[in-house]
Amino acid sequence: MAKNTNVYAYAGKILRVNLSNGEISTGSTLQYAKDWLGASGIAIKILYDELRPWVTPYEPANRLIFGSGALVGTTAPGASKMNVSTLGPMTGGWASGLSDSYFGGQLKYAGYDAVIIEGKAHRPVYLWVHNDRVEIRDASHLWGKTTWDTLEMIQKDLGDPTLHTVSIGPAGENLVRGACIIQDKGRSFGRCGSGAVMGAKNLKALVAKGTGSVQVADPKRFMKIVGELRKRIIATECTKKMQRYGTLFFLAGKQKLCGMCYKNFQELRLPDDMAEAIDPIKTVDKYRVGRSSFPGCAIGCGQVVHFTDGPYAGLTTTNNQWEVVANLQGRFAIWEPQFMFKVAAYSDQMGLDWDLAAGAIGWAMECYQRGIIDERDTDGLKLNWGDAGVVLELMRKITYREGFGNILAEGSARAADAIGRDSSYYALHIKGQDLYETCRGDIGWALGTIVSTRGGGHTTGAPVWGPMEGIDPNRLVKICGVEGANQPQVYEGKAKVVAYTEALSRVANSLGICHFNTTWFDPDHLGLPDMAELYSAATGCRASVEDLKKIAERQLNLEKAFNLRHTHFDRKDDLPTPRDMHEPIPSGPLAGWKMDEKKYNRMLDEYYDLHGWDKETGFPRRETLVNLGLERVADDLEKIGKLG
Amino acid sequence: MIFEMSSCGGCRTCEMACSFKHKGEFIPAISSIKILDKKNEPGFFVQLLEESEGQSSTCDGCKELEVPLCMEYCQKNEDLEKILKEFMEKTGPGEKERKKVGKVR
Repeated sequence: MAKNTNVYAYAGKILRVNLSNGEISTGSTLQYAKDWLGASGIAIKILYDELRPWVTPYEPANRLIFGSGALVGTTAPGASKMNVSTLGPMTGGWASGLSDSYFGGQLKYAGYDAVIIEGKAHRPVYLWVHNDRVEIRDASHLWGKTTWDTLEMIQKDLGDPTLHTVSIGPAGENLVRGACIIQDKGRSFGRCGSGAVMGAKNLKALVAKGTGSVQVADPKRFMKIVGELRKRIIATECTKKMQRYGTLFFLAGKQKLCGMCYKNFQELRLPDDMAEAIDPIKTVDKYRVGRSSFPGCAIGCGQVVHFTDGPYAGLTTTNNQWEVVANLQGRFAIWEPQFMFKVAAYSDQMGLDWDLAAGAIGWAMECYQRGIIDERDTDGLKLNWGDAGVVLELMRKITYREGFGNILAEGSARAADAIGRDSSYYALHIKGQDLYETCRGDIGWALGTIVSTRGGGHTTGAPVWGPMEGIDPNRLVKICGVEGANQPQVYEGKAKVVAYTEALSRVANSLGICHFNTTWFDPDHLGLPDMAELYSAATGCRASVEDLKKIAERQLNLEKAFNLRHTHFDRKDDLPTPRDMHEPIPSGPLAGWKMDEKKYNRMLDEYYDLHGWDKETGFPRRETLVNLGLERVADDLEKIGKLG
Repeated sequence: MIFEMSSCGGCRTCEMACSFKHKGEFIPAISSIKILDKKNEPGFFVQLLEESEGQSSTCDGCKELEVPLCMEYCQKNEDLEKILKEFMEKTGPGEKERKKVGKVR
């Protein structure tokens, strides 16, 4: 396998495929590495540079960028993450999601750090990357198939049962606005609708296999650091719980914090008897038949379950993670404990983002409860809370854009626009993307989620320490410089905690390190100093914590600028939903607690100040952009009147 | 030689570690240990190569190391240890001089 000389950690090349004319070319990764680090960082730079402001998500001119993190392909803890970024149909702005993957490593062993997809194929195709050989192959026979069938059929087509895919299901083909892309049979590049962009390009799947190498600059030092970090991660209590249940062990803590979702966030905890009935720990213990883990991971949080009885008997699948418990099981008030596993598996097969479906169906069920809609709107379905069958039927209708499902496929914000009748209050979304987070009762989590540049999500800056038990607060002071960082209802200092978490997330995402292996999840896991050490040993380019933070800040500002060019977002889009801002927590340990509007706004002011953004608008100031080397971006924003 | 390892989660970090031991680089394609998906049932097989195949090298049990590198990177190293011991017993001392597998600390 030909390899660029003197390139360490990175594969060295970026593959570019134009599906309209079949042109395939390569460029160098290194032109981006120093300023943008990897994966999502490199992707936002390419998206900003190549997409004119008038491009819309489903046009051939849009780019879909798959990027492996800089440390993917090595034994660095948790380094299996791959990113997909594009101009997304949910918010109309920056769309970005990460998934654990085998594909990411194979892509690097084949010699590429990223693949840029542009144009639109004339008929369904898939991309086959095998070292230097890159083929655009016919996928007519795969169109309409689930992601699970697609994986098996491609393995058969190419005569290799070890191949790994990223693919879309029927939801992506049918341009369901929240369709996502699935790695093999599970683990999605969630949120934002990147699967719909892939569908619009007539691209069914990518498959990669490489026989080349990933080299590191200082092998001895790199392996020593990796060995020490793995020992640290493996020793934590958090890891031990994760190894048994993944994030499903959160239920008790979330109930205590009123961090659940029940009946579309009308309540923030489950009735105690329901919590007892659905406890996923019991389901995993009863039906576990195996484990599932990804390259480099020091934890291994996947559990394979096989149901031998119950309504979904015969289903074998990997466990869902936490948000399905809150956002689907709790949101729809479903008592059947196997439902969460079934609905996650169904979403993965169809390539449907379960959080999009949860937002849209949750809105519809609450509207039905309140008499805003009835069977005349819902194709005759009775949308009663607790009805698992009706939820699965609605998910099928969404996937195929059938009847009422065609409205829900747009997400709750657009569905409420279509239906009207003052239903928008129950459409819980941030920047047009359905909200799956509980924002009352945990201020840091709320701020990080709400200001997220990809629209309402915790993975780009929300600190998770609030509900975690047994964390030494002094450790957190050392990590992020804030006292009370894990006190959920304290406003003071949370802007700073979020700014720290934003940097941590961006660095981890760019290196391809799973959040669960970082201090985001446990103070003893990888922190920014560890990542700086790993990156330096791997690449041979000395990077300090301050260097990494500056790169993360540059990425964040470019995501923001990209959004400003493509959307009308400003300060109003960094505020909680009206329900979260104005309704008190109705019951449970935090009953009566209500978001303080003045304090939230003061915290948002501080957050903007920390980033050098204008308080009135949330727009970046010229000096902020110039200090990050983004002068041209400042000029661009000035031309459209969006410089702070 | 193929062994069943029901506790394996399929992360294949052992393949990366093995290739690193042979070449000082990460090239899973050349590793002496292969993790094979059972496909029709949960779990994985562990294949240890008695002879080199294509680019892949023979497993020598990392005889110069106290603990084989694949074990160092295995989340279920106690199970992999049993497999390695059995492999070395069956393949005999011969050129594979290791008779003892150290514990991961």
